[in-house]
Amino acid sequence: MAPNETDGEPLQPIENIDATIHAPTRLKILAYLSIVESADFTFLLNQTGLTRGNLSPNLRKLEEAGYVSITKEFVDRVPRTLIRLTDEGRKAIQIYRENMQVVLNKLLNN
Amino acid sequence: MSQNQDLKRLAKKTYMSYHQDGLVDLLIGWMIIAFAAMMAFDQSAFTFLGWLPITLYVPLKKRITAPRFGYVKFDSEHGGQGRMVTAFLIMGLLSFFVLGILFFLVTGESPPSFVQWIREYTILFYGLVGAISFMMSGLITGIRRFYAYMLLSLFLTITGQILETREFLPILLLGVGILISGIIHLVRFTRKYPNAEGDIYGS
Repeated sequence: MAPNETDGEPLQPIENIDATIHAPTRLKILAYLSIVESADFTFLLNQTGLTRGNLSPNLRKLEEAGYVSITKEFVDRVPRTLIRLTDEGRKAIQIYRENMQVVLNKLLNN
Repeated sequence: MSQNQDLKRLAKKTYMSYHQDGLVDLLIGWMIIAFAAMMAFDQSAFTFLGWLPITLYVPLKKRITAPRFGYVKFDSEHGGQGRMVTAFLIMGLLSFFVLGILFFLVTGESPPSFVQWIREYTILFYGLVGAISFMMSGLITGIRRFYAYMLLSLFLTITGQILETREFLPILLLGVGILISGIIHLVRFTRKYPNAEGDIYGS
């Protein structure tokens, strides 16, 4: 939900936060994906510092939400799982940032 | 705006990590050593040997860096391989341009006064060309150790000029220094990023 679509409830802005993105693990993954065109699993493993058992399910969750695309490709005869941020994912991150800004503004002003 | 700045910092940090493998240092060191060999033995074939390893940069990146660091394609906004290629092109063009001028002017019978200066301070001139190349490469790529190489280039060539060493010696030492730096970075990189076992998604 976009930040201006509230129904006057004081905690509505918090309700608008996208829980799929909000988890610290997934937020970290999305941060790295937003600065590259594509990356493989090893890159995300090294950069996020997550374990394999932690990264895989979180990537699947992001894929199910449509925020990332995961494709298996051969790059120089080596199988690679390439992960990319989708357009929907970029939009979702933008809306998340705006919603967080609203929440933080309300908290700081209160 | 600060969020964008944080992302830009993250992108820069990630891009720098990608180039901590020391490969570019190994190539540059090799090229400089080959140039010094050309000066020492007066054999232009060494120049060709010096440029040859450039063809190995991408294959080495794929063979050494990608399996350990992971495969990544930086977008143009946050880095991109274009920067490194641009830096190489600038260094190469600068070197060829300067050395080309040298070849045509220094061998002339009545060279302009600045060429007289170059004849008298050849080592220093090479050092200045090298320093400018490293400085521009550092600005383009953001790799800080290029600034250290810039200072090393100036230090060695000024020292060589003062001590009146053979022309190739400061250049050789510069090349060896950069090569050693590359080896150290490569060893550190391989220790920090052990070789991943193929594609491990889902395992």
